[in-house]
Amino acid sequence: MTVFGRVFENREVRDPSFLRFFFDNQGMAPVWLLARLYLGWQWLHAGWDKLTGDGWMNQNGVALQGFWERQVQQPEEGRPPITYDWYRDFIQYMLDHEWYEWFAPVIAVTEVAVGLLLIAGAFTAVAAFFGAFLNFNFLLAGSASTNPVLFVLALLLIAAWKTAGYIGVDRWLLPALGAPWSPGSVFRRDEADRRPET
Amino acid sequence: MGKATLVLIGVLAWAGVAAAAILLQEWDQLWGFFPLLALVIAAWAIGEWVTREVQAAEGGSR
Repeated sequence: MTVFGRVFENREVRDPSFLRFFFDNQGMAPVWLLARLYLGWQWLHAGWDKLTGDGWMNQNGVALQGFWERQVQQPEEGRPPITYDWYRDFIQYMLDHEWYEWFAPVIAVTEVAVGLLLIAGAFTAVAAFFGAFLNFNFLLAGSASTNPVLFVLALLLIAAWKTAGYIGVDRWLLPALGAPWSPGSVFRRDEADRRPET
Repeated sequence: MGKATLVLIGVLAWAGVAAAAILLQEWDQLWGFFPLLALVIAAWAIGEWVTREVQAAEGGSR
């Protein structure tokens, strides 16, 4: 037990100052603004094309159906588009159950929402998380394109959640809503209202 | 100006950014980015002004 106690001693390892400046300092907000706008711009454009084009919001999601059908192919020679069998099975399952009919509008609307939230800097880290989740799935499905770059940018924005939306709506949202471990002014006021007067 | 009016101005500024973003990306994928950047900074500046005005009004009313 003493060995474990020594090895897993309750000791906090702090980040170096340059990392704290990079992710936690409001002085970096202009840099994160550029990253956020670029990422949001890309998502908005991709989502708007789907929202206003054919095969995503109409025609029973035929565009997504076509994409899934191409990606689950396993050629006789060469590598299949999807590396992991479990992911191919997952896409095949969704194809067999015609999930593309409702999944296509979900993807289109999510992409536009992620784009607009990132541009406005509202719930920046949450929007970046959903963006990264989409990138992750596109990459698993064998579509590289701009996804690796967008994925890395999204991860950086998540890491910089405290300052990435400072030149944006988060400048007011974060202090008002706070975080699950640190409620913001809105919840503190509610708590104060509930407290019985003495 | 009342607090509600000031907050409405701030909300409208950011809603305007979202609407402008959709119009600008339809206009030009490359060049639309720069006016959007300027609009975001303008909306942020409006928000800062609203915050100061609200704080001043609340301070004055105490």
